[in-house]
Amino acid sequence: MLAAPAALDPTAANAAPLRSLAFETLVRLDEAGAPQPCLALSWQHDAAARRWQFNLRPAVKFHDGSPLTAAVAAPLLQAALPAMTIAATGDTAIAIRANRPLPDLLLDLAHNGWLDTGPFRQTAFEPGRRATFAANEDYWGGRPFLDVIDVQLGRALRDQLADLQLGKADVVEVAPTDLRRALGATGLSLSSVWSSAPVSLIALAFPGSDPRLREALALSIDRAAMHTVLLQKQGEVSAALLPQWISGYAFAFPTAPDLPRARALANALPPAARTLTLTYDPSLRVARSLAERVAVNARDAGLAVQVSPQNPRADVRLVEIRLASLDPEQALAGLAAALGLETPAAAASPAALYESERKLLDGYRAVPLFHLPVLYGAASRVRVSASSPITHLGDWRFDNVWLSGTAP
Amino acid sequence: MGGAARDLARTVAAAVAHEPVALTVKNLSAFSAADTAEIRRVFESELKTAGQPAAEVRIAISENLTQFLLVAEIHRQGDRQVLLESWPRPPAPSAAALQDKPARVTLEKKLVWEQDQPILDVAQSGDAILVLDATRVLLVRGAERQSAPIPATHPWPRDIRGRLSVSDSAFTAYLPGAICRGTAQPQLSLVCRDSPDPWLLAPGAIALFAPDRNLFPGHIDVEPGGARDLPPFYSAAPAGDAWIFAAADGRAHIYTHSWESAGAIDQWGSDIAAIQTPCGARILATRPTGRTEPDAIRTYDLGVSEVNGGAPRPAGPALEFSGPITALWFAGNSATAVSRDLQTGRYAAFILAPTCGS
Repeated sequence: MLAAPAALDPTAANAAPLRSLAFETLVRLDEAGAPQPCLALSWQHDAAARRWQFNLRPAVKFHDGSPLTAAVAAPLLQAALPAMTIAATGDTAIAIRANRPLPDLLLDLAHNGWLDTGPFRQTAFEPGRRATFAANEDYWGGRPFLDVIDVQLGRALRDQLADLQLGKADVVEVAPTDLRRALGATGLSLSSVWSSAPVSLIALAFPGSDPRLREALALSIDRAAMHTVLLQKQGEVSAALLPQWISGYAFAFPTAPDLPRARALANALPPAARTLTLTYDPSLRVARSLAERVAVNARDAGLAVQVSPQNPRADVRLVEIRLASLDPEQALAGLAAALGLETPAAAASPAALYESERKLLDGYRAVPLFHLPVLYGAASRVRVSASSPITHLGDWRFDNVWLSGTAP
Repeated sequence: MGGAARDLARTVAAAVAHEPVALTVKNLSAFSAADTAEIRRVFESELKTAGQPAAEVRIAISENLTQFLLVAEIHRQGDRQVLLESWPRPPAPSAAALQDKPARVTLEKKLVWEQDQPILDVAQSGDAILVLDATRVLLVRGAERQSAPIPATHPWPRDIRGRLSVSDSAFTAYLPGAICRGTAQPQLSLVCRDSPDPWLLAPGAIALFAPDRNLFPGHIDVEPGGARDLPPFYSAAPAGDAWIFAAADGRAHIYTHSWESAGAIDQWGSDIAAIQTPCGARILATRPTGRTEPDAIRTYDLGVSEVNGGAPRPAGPALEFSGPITALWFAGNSATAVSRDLQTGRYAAFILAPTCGS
């Protein structure tokens, strides 16, 4: 039996949100999504964007105390970005080359090539249970304010909210459906609710079933009503796999229900074939209420949907999938894999990517519903001195977080 | 933009067989209203919009992290077709461009101290932080606190200002009409005396500070160049061979190395400072806001030739604060800023560190 990894792997699919506490990349995105210096202080490229040079930030140390140099960083980056040629060209200079233009290289480098130079060091990691981090005294950006971060993993969201109310936790994840209750019950102000970009796809996934049945169910769903009532307008209604901020074209996938057509499709089916079982994972943030509302919408179209949590034989699953990449092509491939869809064709342009996504969604094997942000509620003593402590992809950037009542 | 719009418009025109269309254009991007109008004009010139429409064409200007997109939805006889054109957002400057164009400077603020009383300045001394207010110098080293009182031998001005200058473990605290000298190691010590001595304004420059006001009355001594009398000013910053003074008349006045007036800037507040960044010297300036509004600090690329009739060029995004800036001082490769939180009324001191990028 393999031992569980004793350290957080920043490349693992579930590495967010903890990854950015301990690991950093050459560049990072600011709140507007523009690349900004991180471990690379500056960069330049040739006219074709095939050859890039990055100048590393001086006086950066890894958590083991060794200095960040180009000679050390280049092979680590090469392992993370095997499609490119990466080499040290000086003490602090790294060259990245490819046979094709790399116009999105800064985007790739914002979530690839993680180096353990971050503001906190991992001190313990039990996958699924607990992770602890200690302040990195040698952090190049200055020692973070917090001494220790103790993270309990796998705790139910309702329990997390209770922990916040009881003062047992300072920061908890909040389900969009619980946001109003959280604000009312805990006295959280809006400024102490932290949000990522919409990074979680909520969708229906059909492993099989009649295509007319899938389409009938898809066209019966009133996303806007669910968004307003159940999700309290958090995130975005979407019929696309990629969120609008990643693709730029998500709005071109129609989201409105078409009940007459849904009824016509349902009526064309034999009565015995108008029945579906819908399952969900109860640990997902908003699964139960959304599943029940899907069943209500389906009934309006003449379909009978039975909601059955954790049912492996169900006809359709309500799933939540977190985006793992800022690169649209990589993100689409990741979502397709998670939904059991075919691998999308390579896409060199938004038009080609749109076509790939449209083909994935033809046949209604996956029916996107929403893109939701990850929300966190912070106790009143938690303060933030700079930009948002949550990155676009939902990672934690807690080096500027401190607790009032303690010396910053 | 224009080329992509024209290409898409022609493709759409072919898709609707050059028949009349009902055209709508919406902007989902950071494009301006003028850009949107220009794109509409391109489509109107390529499509027939007069007569009974045979199709509905909805154009959306959109964007993602790296591209701008034009998305055309064509609704015709119950069918729906989507066509896209895209073009990259302005790429990172090439090597040649980097040589010609100043690098973008981003300021990062790091909170170093917060308290109820007004903070006049903070400074780093080894592994300790020194905090100056009207009554004391506070030393913060980890959990350790040491405080040295400042005797008030005369009434302070209502809007008192102060400045810390650190050299190794020694430091000087400048206050209106008084100077305190002290050490941070091994123990905090402080000796104050009434003094009309000038304050350190910038490396190589000193200036008298009015003992009963919150400004410099205008007498400065610059190395090289010697003494000079100028109009009263709140703050000053060297800009290459030139100097900029945030004057009491609400304008930032520029002087050449030979002390000739070289223009004035109206867009800045009363606090400015020069800062050394990894990509060269830049000017920090607040906004001309009141004492009850949130303020921001921005870096500027500034040379005398550029400000001689032109507005200063921002070198990076504005760094926003939750309240007014009450102090801004240079600190070599960084700067210190103090802001009063409008919600809590507390004062927070920050160290501002610049980074350079494309």
